[in-house]
Amino acid sequence: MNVLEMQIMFQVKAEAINADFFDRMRPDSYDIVNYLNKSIDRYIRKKYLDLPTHSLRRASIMSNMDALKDMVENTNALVEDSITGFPHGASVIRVLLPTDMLSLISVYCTYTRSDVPPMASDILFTDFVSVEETKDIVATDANKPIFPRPVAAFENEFNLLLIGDAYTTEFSSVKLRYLRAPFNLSLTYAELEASDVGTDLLNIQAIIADNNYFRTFAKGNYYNDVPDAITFQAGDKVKKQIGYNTIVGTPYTAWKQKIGAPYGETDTPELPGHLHEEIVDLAVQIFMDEAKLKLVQKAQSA
Amino acid sequence: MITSFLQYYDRITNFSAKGYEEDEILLFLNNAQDEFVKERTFGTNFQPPAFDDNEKRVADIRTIVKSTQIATAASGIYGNSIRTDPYATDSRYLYMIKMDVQLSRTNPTITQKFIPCKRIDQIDAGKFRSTEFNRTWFKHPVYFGTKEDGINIIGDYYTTFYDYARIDYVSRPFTITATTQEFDGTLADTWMSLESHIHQEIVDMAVDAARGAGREQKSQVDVIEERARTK
Repeated sequence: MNVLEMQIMFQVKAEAINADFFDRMRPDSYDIVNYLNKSIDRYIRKKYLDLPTHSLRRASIMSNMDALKDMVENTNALVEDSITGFPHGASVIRVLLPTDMLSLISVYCTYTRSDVPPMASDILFTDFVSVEETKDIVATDANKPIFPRPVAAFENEFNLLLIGDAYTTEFSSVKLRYLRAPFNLSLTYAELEASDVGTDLLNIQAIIADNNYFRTFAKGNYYNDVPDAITFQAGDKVKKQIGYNTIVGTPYTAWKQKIGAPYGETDTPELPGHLHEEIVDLAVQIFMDEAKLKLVQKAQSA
Repeated sequence: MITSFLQYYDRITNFSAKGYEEDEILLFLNNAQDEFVKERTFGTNFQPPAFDDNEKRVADIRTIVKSTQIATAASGIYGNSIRTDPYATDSRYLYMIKMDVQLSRTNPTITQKFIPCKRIDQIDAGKFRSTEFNRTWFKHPVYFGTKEDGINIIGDYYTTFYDYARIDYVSRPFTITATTQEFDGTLADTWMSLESHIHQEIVDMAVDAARGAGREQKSQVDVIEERARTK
């Protein structure tokens, strides 16, 4: 169901419960869409994330990956190169967490170490520990810990620490794989699609204003701030540049260029279709819980 | 009708009640006729459903039920809305029974068809108005009547209106006069507007009203006499 179909179903269900929701207490579309968005958030939190530990949440996400895959992001992490005052020696870097993250799934990086065993630019996934648990793996003059797989620990709500052992020499290209907050349903969201595969997408200004962000659904070329052509991947967040209204798709014959705008919104929930009715039911339930008071007040004033 | 009124009135009051002039009798009869039409249209106490809930009710006033196509004009006061004034087409327009308007729409897709409307109260009209934060959806256009604007019809965000609405309505029956002729199917001011089998019911209602008026007068006399006695 798209957002309009969900709005219709919401109204039909609400009116079936009480006919006053057709006219006297009719909710507007803005409210309905808000209830639907609230319902999606609550549904994801209750069904997949309402678990006491990070490791259980990760396990839940991975075992429900078919339902959550549309919200899984892979992104290059922003890294702070050197950390001073942290008792783990030089082999620690601080990674900035994305602001739209619900739960971190995995961290991997290009990793180089000098010994036991030596590695040169291997790609490794990290393990997860808490910062407190890292006390035994602090590299000091008296302790040369060995753990060939780096560990990741949440420092605070903004940062993640990547910690290597005494033989770690370099982290690079750190990537985060995480469950993102779902995009908001919106009645004003729009998409634009090229006429065929391997062709350019023209006139993107029709759905996106300059300096706003859109989402890509295919690999293609556009321009960055310089402007120089950049290659983006499906799912990337791209900024609309002033005067640049075409996405070049001719080199990518396997892809049909398509964008959605604005970034962060959608017209179809990112959960699978068979869950959409449950989302509407939950939205109606939240709405009714709040509307009960209004109905009581109305009955009292009648 | 006047003769019927007098005979019936005299019989049930046993010639003991005050008499009425012809003009007064016509007033009772016309009031009774209006009351009869209102009751048949809305039922007692204006409780819906009214008009269509039984066949007799429909049959009793079928001679004054009319259908017509009326022009509409863009309004915009209530967002995607139009308005129309049935009085402009028929000055005897009295009560609306049903209204269809011509429209095209998406979700679901309809191309220039007449679609039935639903009546709402004017106080709720704002909730059906499409705005920047309310992209409304309702299959059937809604309407309400105002004295100044006639009837406002509001469509949802996905509706495009075209000219013309079709209405089924009750028209005002012609006034009963001393020279009004028996109903013969002619809907004009010198014929009864309602069929013959209805007339006795109208006379009954008129006589009841006349008796009520008499009782009211009598009780006023009683009050005066009682005041006099207690002085």
